[in-house]
Amino acid sequence: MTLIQREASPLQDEGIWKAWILICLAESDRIGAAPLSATQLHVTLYLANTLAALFSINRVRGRVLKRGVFPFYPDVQREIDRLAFSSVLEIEHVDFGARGHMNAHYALGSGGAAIHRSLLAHSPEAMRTAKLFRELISACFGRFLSTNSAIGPIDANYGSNFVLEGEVVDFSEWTDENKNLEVARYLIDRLRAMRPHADRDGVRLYCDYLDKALATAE
Amino acid sequence: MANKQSPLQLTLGAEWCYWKYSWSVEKLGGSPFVARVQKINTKLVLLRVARTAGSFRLINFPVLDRVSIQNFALYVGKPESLGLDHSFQPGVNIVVGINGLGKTTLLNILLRSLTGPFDIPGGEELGEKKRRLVPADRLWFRRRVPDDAVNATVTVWFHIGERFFEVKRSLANLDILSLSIDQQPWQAARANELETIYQQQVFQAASLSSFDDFVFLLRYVVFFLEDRRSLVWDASAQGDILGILFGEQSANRRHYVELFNELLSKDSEYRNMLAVVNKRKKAYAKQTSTIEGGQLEMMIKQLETRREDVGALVVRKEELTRQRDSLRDQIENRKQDIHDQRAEVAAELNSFYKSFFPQVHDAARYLLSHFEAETGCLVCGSHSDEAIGRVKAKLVMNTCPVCESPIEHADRPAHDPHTGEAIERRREAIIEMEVYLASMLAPLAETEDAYADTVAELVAATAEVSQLEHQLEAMGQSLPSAIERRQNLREHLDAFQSALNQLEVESNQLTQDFRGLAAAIDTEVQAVAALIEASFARFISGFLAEDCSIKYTPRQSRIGQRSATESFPFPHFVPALTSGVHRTSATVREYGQSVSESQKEFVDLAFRMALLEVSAPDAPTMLILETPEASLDSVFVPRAADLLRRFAAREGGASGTRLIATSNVNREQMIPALFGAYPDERFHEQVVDEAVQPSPPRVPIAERERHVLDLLTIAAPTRALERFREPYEQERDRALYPERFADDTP
Repeated sequence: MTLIQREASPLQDEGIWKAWILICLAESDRIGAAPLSATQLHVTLYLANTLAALFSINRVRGRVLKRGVFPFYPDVQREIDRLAFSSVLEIEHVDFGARGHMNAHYALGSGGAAIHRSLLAHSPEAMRTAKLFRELISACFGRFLSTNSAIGPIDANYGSNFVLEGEVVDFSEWTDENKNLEVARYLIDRLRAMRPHADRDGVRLYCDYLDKALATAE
Repeated sequence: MANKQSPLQLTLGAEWCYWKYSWSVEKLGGSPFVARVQKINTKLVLLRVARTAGSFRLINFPVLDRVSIQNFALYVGKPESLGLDHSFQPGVNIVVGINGLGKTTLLNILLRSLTGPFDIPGGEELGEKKRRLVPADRLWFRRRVPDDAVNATVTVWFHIGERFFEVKRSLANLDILSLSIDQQPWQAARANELETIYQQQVFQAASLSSFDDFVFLLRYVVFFLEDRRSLVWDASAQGDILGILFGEQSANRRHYVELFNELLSKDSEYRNMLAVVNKRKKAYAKQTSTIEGGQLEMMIKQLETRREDVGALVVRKEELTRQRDSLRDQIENRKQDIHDQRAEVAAELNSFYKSFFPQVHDAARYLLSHFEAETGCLVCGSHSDEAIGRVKAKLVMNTCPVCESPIEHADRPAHDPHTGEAIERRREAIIEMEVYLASMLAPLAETEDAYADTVAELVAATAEVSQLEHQLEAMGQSLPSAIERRQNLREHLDAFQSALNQLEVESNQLTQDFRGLAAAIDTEVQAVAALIEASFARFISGFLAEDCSIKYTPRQSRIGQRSATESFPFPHFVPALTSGVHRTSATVREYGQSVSESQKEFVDLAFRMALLEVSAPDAPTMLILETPEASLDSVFVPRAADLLRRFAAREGGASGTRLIATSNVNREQMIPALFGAYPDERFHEQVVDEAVQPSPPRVPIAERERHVLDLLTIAAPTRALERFREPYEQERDRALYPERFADDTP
């Protein structure tokens, strides 16, 4: 493999991805959920993409390959590692996860906190993103994601029977088939009668659904 | 009279007898010319026999017996008997007068007495007019006299076959005042009812199928007046008259006329409808070609085209979407494969590093393992093969990849993945997958470009469609009636086209029915054609020195003015005659303009006489002529008079035939010639073919007065008559009684 060939497929939206990874781990750190394993990190990033619209944020990527029991972005993994070896993040330890692969656990690095603060100070979008991750991590961790990252069969998008193993789950705005968001909005509507400000609870409601559904599946 | 055999069968029978007869004449060695005349006479005799036997239809012509005109200022009468009252005699009857005494009026009174206030369709030719009567000018006689003819009446006594009629009409309006048939008066509250009874009785007595046919016969055969219309050169009229005379009568004739008129109506309706359809088509075309119509049409076409484009683009987009998604799926899968393979390699390398560098932190081993698994350098981000090679070489040489110092426990046994075949296979598999992945990037890019182009086109086309729809909508609002008007025009056009098709179907049905009847009439006339030709030849020889003949040539003609319709055979005789420039052979004169006026007149008269003779060979007929001498020269006056006299003096069943002719008092010698009292016998012998056709005996002097209706004594005198009464009366007497003036003859 030549250098040219390798560089032919750079990660799209690399900067946004890095920002999201940093914010995710910073919010995890704040809540005390860090470090996050690579698997947890990918699941969190996936959920954030599916539910971004609830916080008026543009998703980074609306597609993910359906392969295995949890969503994973292989091209993003390298950027996570790059952040880890550039002191933005740090690898606290490495264990062996699914199929015996090395599974690094990431925490906020020495340089990460400052960058995070700078991001939030200058970008309302970053503020909203931080809020999304805060909601998401607090809704997932200490619950299903602490013990079980295999949300694949339960997740509305990833687990759709209309998408076969090896096909891409597409929940971009062009296809308008973001079932996670539909579930969240359905739950919001159901809840609206009891709670006037149910809109902001969409993330939590969807994660509650995942938590309960996973528990039921086990 | 019931027909037991068809006219054709009977005529063929008569023909057979004729041929048998002619064979015997030739065998006896008779003179050819005499034999020819005798043959013709024999044929007529045979036909007469067939008719007398009751197996051939017989048409009865009206024969006037008496006329009485009262209270009509034009005919004041004599002191002892006012008005005009005259009995017509069998044979020649002459109405003697001078200019202005009412000869023409008298003949018209005779005509209207029989036809009533009806006449044949006007115009020079019958042509494509419907075969039905039209109203005649009821006030024609009223205008001739100062008192409006308020009390004027005409009474005519005439017979048709065995039926005797007495009809009294008002000359003020032609209404029937009284009607007696066979001396039985008919009573009716209204003149119209009497008229209807009269008409019914007349056409039945004449063995015709309608009163219309009766009037047609009077106008075209019996009356030969100044305003006569040609029969020989009016093909339509000739066809009709031949059909009336020789075609099968009753229901068939009525059906024939109905179909003929119906076909004419359909033709007219069709042409009118076609005109409407064409007008609508023009309006429709104009509407669509107007600014708004054309623009509308253009925009609708553009819209349809663009909609088709959008449809094609949507299909193309879907196809590209499938291709793109398929490639993306494959690429994503290959990426995952590569990642998994590297993760496998990294996991194996990790155990190796752990054995060599047990004190190294997990993160460092993670870094080294992934470096060597060709993920690249996670510190600097380099993918360089050279860098990877350098680190690999240090490890192979048992030196530290960071500071290149010898490894402390290099001799310690460790699992060295570098020597394993499994890891090499994985590396090869990774390379293979990366190559494959790279090979898909270009097609993906192309597909994505094509997709982007297609989507752009689709967006543009959709936008254009949307724009056109808006424009159309706006146009529809600004010209609300444009589309509706066009739609209405289209609907009207379709409705008229449908009606036109219906007319075509109806016409075809009528044509089918008419075809059979036309062919039958043609056959029937053809059966007697030879007789008519022969009879005509005999009569015309009395009027013209040129060789003249007629030949039966059925005319194929269409009914109506449309060209794309079927033509039918109509009975038709075509005349041919020699002339000063065509001496050797007779040339066909199909058109009236190709002969002189006098020739035309006599050809027509001879044709009528032939028709009368052939159609009523054994029954009295009548011929009414107006000044026959007008077009004749000195030689042909005695010839023509002789011929007319022979016609009037027919014998046998035909005795009682009347010839009524008007003549001016002059020295043309027509009056004495008609009585057979030609003053110059020597000249008469020179010019008349007595050897061929013996003349009937002359009318005795004592009887002549009864054969003359003398308007000099009856009519209101003109200035000329008042002034020159004596010379006029002398001339009259000279004409009536030439024998008394024999000494004066030059």
